[in-house]
Amino acid sequence: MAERSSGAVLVYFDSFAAAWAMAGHGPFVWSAYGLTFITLAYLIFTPLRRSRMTMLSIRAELKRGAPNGRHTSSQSVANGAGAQREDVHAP
Amino acid sequence: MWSFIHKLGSPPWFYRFSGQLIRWLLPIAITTCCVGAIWGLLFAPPDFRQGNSYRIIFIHVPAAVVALAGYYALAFAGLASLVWKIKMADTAMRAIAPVGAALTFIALVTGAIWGKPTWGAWWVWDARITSMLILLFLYLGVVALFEAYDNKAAAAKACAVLSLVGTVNIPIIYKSVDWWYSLHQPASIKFTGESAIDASMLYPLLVNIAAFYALFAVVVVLNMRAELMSTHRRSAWLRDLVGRS
Amino acid sequence: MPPNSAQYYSDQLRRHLRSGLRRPGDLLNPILFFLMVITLFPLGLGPSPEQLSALSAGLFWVVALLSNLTISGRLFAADYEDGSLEQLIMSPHSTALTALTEVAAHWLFSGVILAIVSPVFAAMLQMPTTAVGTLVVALLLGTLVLSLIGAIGAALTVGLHRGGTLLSLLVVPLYVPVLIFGVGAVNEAAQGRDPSSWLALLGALAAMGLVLAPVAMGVGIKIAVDR
Repeated sequence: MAERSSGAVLVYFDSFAAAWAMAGHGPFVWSAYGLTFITLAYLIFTPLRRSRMTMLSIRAELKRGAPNGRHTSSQSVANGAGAQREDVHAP
Repeated sequence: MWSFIHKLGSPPWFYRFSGQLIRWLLPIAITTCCVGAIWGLLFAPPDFRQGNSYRIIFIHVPAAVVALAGYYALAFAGLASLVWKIKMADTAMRAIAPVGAALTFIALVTGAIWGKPTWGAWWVWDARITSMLILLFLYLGVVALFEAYDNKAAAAKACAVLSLVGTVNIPIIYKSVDWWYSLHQPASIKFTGESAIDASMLYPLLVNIAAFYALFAVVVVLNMRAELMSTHRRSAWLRDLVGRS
Repeated sequence: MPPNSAQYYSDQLRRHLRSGLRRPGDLLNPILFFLMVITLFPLGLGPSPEQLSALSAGLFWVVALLSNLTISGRLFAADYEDGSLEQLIMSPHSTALTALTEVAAHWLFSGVILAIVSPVFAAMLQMPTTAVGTLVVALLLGTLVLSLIGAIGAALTVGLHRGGTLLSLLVVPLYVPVLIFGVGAVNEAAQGRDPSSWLALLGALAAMGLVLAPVAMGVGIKIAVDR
């Protein structure tokens, strides 16, 4: 059990097994925390991955020698960014 | 301050600014989450009546709070888009809606998981849970509306209207459901009321709420950056930035 | 005629009413829908009068909601298809108010008819007779709000692929207060108590809806035409 000795607080549980079991409520607590962890990780990694993919594809285009897109920035900020331009394929 | 907000409306400026922001906000958010989770799981004492299952509160309440705040953020972005015609607000709306929906979902599921050992049922129709469920519908409606339109600018306008209408309704919906269920269930059972929460539980709760807010901000900004990158992939400013990095 | 004149709007209303009356058989559709659905309840729940009586208010309102949901989708669809929605935008008159006349006609042919016929359905669901008067008033107010909310959804989804399902998703959360206040009023009356506070709430929703919904509708229609 947690004891307060001169202001210090200890971990509530005696052992890892006790923390896992949580006096019978273990499955509930850990599944709730686990599900949340997975969802939050997904929420963080999805946009990161998407950004990375876009960055890599821009880099590849730059390498292939398309230094500016056909459109300037003012044109790109159009509804829906309907870019119909086909990519320059590598020779 | 207005010039700052004005600058935020420019995609290149926002992109650079958010890049700097994420650099320190992401680690802070993750750290706060870890601290909050560990505190709540291992250090906080168990509840007198509920035992250890109450630890789910450290996820359930923050998720619910941020989910609700997120909808207001969504509506505010909608207002900015509709009234002040700020294009960046469209991107913000697009980013917020799915994140808010996910948080609402987390709140509902953790609420159900908490309910089972505590009150014996996976699902209970009380005012807050029902209002959370309706909030989920409101979020999903915005997400679905965005997807249904081909023209994304028109989609943003429609979603702005929808989110504003939803915002006006949220207090009405909550009050009416609350009133209704309190008529049907005599107040002997208070499902989500806690009279006074002890400091040893309040502090980890506050930390977790802060953590969820920080995470929400991080995820929304990350989504906005990803959206900007794909929308402006042909623009000179972005290609320069990528080329130089 | 000068823009925003009362004559214009009453003409518009008359036009919508006339087109609604073109096929009088269509007026029966909401009533038939209602009849069929409430026939299912005793079959599903069992015919016990006490049980039906206790549930009658809730069942009635849920069916009213569903009925409104099914017809809201068609509200602006015909106008969208034949191009009159564009003319609506381009006219000097207020889009919001013109849309409101269409909703008014729609309500007269759905909600008001339902309110008038409701005592029959109330009897079929074993609703206590003390509640029937309240039911009619509550339906008049409630269906007005439902029509307004449905119209907002219709304006935002007009012409979209699979707009119908989307409309349901958008509109159901907004229906909830109407459901609660409507059932509250009827239940109070059924137990012999005074339903006026619930009716007042419905009235407040109606007042709010009449002011705010046309604005939302107008924006939705403009978005639809601009596409």
